[in-house]
Amino acid sequence: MSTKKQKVIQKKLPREVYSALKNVAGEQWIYEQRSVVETYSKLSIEGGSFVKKHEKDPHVLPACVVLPASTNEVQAIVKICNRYHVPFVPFTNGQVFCNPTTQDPTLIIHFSRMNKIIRIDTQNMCATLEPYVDYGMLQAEAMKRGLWNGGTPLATTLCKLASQFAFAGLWQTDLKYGLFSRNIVSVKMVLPDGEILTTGSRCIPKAGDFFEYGPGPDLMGLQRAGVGTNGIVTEITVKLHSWVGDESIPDISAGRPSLVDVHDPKYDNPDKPLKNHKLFWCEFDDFETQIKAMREIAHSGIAIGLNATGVYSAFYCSQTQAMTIKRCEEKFFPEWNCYVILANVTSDKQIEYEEGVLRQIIDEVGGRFLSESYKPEVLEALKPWNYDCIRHSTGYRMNRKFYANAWLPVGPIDSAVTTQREWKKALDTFGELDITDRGGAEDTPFIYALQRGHFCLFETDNYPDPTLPDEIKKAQGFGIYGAAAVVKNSLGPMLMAFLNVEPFTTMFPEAGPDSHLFMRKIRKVFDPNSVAAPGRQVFTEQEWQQFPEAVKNIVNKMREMNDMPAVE
Amino acid sequence: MTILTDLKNILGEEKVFNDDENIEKYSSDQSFVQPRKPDLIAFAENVKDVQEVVKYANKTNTPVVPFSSGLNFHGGTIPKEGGIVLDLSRMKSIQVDDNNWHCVIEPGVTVSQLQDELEKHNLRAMLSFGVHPDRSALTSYAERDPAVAAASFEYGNELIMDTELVLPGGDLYRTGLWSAGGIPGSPMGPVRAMIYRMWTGAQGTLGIFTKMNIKVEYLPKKRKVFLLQFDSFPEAMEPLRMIQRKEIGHECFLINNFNAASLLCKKWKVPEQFPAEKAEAGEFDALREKLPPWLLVLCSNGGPRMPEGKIKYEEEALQEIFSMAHLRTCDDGPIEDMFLKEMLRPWGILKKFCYSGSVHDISFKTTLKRVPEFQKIVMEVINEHNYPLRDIGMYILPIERGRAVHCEIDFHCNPRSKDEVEQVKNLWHVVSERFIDEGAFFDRPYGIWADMVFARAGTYTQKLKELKRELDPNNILNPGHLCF
Amino acid sequence: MTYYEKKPEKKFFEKELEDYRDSIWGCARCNWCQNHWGWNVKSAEYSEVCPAFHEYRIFPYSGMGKMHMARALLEGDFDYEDAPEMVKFLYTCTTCGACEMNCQRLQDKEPLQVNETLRAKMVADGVGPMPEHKGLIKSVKNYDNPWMQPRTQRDRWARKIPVKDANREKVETLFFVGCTSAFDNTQWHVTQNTARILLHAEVDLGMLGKSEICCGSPVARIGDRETFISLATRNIELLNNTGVKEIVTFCPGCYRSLKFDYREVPGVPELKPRVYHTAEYIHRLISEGKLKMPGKMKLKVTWHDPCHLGRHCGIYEEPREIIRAIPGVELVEMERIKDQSWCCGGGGGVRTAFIDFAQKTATKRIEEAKKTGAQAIVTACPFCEQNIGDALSKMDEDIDMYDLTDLLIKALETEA
Repeated sequence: MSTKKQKVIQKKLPREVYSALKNVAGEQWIYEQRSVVETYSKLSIEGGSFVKKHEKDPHVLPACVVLPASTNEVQAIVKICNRYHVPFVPFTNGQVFCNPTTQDPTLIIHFSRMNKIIRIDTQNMCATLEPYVDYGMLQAEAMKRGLWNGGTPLATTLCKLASQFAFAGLWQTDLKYGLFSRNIVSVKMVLPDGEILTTGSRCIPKAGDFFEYGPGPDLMGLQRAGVGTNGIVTEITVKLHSWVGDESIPDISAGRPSLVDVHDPKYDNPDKPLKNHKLFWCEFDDFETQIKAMREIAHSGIAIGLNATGVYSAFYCSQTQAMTIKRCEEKFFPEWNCYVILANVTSDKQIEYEEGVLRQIIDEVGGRFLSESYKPEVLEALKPWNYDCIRHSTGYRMNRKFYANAWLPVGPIDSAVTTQREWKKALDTFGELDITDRGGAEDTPFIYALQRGHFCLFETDNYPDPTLPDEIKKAQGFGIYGAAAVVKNSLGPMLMAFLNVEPFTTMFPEAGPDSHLFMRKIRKVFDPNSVAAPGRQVFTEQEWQQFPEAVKNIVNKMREMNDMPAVE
Repeated sequence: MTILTDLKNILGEEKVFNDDENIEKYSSDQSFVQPRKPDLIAFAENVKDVQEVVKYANKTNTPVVPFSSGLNFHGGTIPKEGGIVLDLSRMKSIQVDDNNWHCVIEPGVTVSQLQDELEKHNLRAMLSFGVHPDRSALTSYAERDPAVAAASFEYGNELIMDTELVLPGGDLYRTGLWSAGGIPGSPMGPVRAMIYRMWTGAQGTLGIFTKMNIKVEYLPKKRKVFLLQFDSFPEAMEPLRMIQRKEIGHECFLINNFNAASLLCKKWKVPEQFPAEKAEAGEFDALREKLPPWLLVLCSNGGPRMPEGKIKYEEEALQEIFSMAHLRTCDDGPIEDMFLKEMLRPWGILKKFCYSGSVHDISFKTTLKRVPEFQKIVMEVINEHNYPLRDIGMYILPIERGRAVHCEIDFHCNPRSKDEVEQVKNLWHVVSERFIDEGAFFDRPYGIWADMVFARAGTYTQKLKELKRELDPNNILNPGHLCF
Repeated sequence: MTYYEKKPEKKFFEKELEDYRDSIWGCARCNWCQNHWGWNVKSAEYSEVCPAFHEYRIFPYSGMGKMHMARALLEGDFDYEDAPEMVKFLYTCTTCGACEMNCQRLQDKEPLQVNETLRAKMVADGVGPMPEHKGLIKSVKNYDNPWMQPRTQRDRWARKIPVKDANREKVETLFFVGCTSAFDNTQWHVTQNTARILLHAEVDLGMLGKSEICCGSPVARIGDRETFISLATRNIELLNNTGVKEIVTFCPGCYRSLKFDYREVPGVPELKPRVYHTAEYIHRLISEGKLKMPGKMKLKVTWHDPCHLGRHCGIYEEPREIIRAIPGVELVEMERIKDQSWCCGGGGGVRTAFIDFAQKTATKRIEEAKKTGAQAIVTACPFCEQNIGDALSKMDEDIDMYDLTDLLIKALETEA
């Protein structure tokens, strides 16, 4: 229940902790003013933090923000947190999972000062980055050297690569380059206990930083996707690949917008993709044909990217909320579609060959290409993808809505059908929050074909009004229901506020099975004092016992709706 | 004997053995690792058997050494502290998913069985050069044997998808999509994106894989092999880099004339047992003399559709490099045919064991640029040890378009000649130490390499030990290996 | 109320925080408010566009931070006394609009408008602006200019230039000089150049002289809406009464106020004359063949987009085309240009209240310009010229600073 005008008072760190932190970072780089901590408290796409804001929950506010400049400073800060048992949360952009996780005064470690590309090794095709380096920065520098990192996330080039190490790293060009997890050479981390861990060949003196496994059992894989709970990445070395496009992205012919005409679509519409790249949009009569075509394309060995966008193109390619809604209402974009990104990596004739293969497949399955003569207005509207397919800048365009929940299961491409069916069931049960929520039910879910189509990721989203807490709660309900629905259907929810963060890790013991028990052991090794965003990734037994009954009951209710027994 | 009785009760009479012949068989391999006899050998036929044995071992503090084919050449299954050798070779299920190009294998499936089965589905597994046809395919993937197509970022790497394993406490655990409780089908699942990697390169010390879902690829309808000859390795470096930057072909590697001659030697056969029997070397010697010092082997694979088109544009791109770098090709139909065969069934190189009977390799990762540094070290050490340069086999495999290279340097000796064994053992030891000192990266630090590597790995080693203590508090899984 | 229920459209200068409620709740934290638009990033070094966040590294200095602070203040999560530091955060913003540009483009939201509305609220509530701004406001109120200069000095720059007095005779085109260049004699070269160029092209040019008053831009940006509205009202009446057809100004602040901001003032009549920036106007004269440039020089220059001219008002190409039209002048571009231009650091009251930060920001711009190999930075804004010029004078850099009109005068008045 929102209590307007009631103040929200932050907690403060004990003075000796503050002083110790100040000594490490310097007075200029530690903040505990009320307005500062406010800007580190309401996140982007985590419905929970929004609801807490509406409910005036003070625990959403961190106690203090510190900005280290080096691995050594991060280590010193983490050691202080261990000494005084102060929980900390690593923070870059603040899009997900950066809120304090407990009711204790919490330290935010913000990495905005650690924003350098440490080195680009053109010989061995890798780059070493500080945690605040984003995809745009890396691509800009790598492309000048005839290299690139292999893709950008739909959540835009502003994602920090070190953050993506902690979460997911899903790219449009995953078909060829795989997920970000396929593209990490090594990490240097400050572990929650203050020790510094380096992984891969880099951990052996004189070996160099070029190989990702070992020595022996691989700890990098264990650290990845730890949502910042297993340690703080202070340096990450990522793989680079051959780049055959322009050294930088050319300006588009319409020029640049100003505030006078910023919403004119012409500024978002590059006429063609980058040099040596080509983009095709295909339309199908039904979902079944779309899936069939995507499987055939993935298996044909062509293309660097293969994805379906569905309703989400209405967001990405519309400059205002009004345009988005209009296009959804009119079903302006093809309901059953996919786009294919081709590149001349090996030869100038590669695209020509791959286009031949693509046309053969589309012809065989009975699809159509959007073209100058077939739905040219739709093709025109989709032009932002000409650049976005390589460096995604219009991603995360929700205009005036809020992206509060997503289902992101992975599985073989046929699982798209299950995702669609379950999403429709959820919409029919709870009702949609926005016209765009119907995307994924009445047309294609977002589908990414990953690693030559060996598996795929599907996405369906809710877009509630951020000013209405009841809508956000409903979106959260979708999320919890979705977790149960996808587990029930043996799909793997990969990321977002589902099974890889609590309370879901503990409340879905089917996963693993009993992955929570296994992960408790891991947590004990890396975070013996429970200071790294405690309880985000997995509860200790004690934390689980203290978890509010009310939330347990909600999750159990959703389990029950999916014919799953309650968790005690 | 209590353990014997107990295990017979748990698994059944026909699954547990402690006769001398078996005990002897499981106590050593052809490596320099000190042999040690197990107390008994238990055969698991299913996951439940594995769980039961592991649970029993925990109760009785008995070491358990997982064993599949024993063809690892690096002492991985020698029971350093005795105990139970748990032989998984009877677990032989293969399930191919034609639609999604996956295949679930159990530890008893050999690489040749796997490849045979997949070919029926017009698919193929990506295998490691020099893998024995009888080696457990699951173990080969678990031990990160680099695929012969490792140069291809997309097709030759990260081949494991979902896994099923028994944890050191005996609990069943799954990774990837499989962990959601249903079908396998993705390396990512509800838990962590790449958690399975913790159990790779682990020699069964942190858990026992009982099933693995691996990526498989289409069986190319058209393929073409290109051979380039070089007088020295440094000469090959820039052309190799150019080829890889252009992402031409899937399989790509370099071998020296010793290894090429072994492959081409018709009189030699791939041994079934190791150490092998020394064979007559006349044909081999003649081939070695005739072949260029280094061969770069590259295979272009046509796609499932319009395969000629793909090979054509790749060949054109390759020709540009040939003319730009003035490269010498080695146009020889029979050699090309032999290599085409090796790309799918890459075990012919094991004929090298026929030269002396025993081969001791030093396998490590480095960067392409640094390979000559390590070659120089080898030259220095063999001179000191009077080992002939011509008797060294070398295999250089670019990984992920040349970001890293996998190097294998072989030394040969007759296992029946104590002097030769002693000479090569010393030499092998010195080279290993010098390599590690100079930064050769042994990502699979087995046998004597373990101490050398883990002593240098600082926090990494410390955290591995802590993990081991947490997951395997009784230290029952393959104790004495790695840093455990 | 949901997004779909059409709200009554208000003009900017009557909007309150509540009018941005959906926007500030919906900030997606995409971080584009701090960063160079992704397609246009050419290097890691120049991947940021918000000078304040670039310098201070914490979110309250960014557009996103303003949205979050505004939300908390609006909902009563804290009040001024809980967060006295907020005034500094709000005023360490040059109002360059880089955040607004990228946020509008991506999210259809308005962080700069929110910041200016916050400033207005703070001024109305007696909490803002910064103490350093108070003299400026007082001066505008008392002297009709922000620089505490007597009105009588306003036309000193024009003593030797035959510009007509628009108060007395009918002219077609009015030269709106603006306070800074009228009173600061280091800027007179620009006013004089402008007048000479327009007269050279036989433009029927007049000016208001001593009766010109401040356009209101400085007080608008600082958040004193009351004073701004008063000035806007007076100016509209004054300018409409002249009967001129067109107004030319070279100050981007004046240009934005006259052309766009006055439309956002509730309850005032429309400004009738068409408003041009000198770059626009001269571009037209060149296109019409009314300005011939016989002079030839050998000079490599880079163009610094003044924020209020380029990003705010869309004048990107005209000055560039003018430069390219000058014989012998080569234009080379910096990385951050046009909509993604890096601010000189002087706007939004920052130069008045935070001179060190303003100068640091200018220094970064000079360094960026140097990397192009240019011999001179060319711009067309008195504030940019002051701020970059000051920073340049303290640096040991071999690069000059010119106003666009400096080049033109050289080209017009030099023999071929």
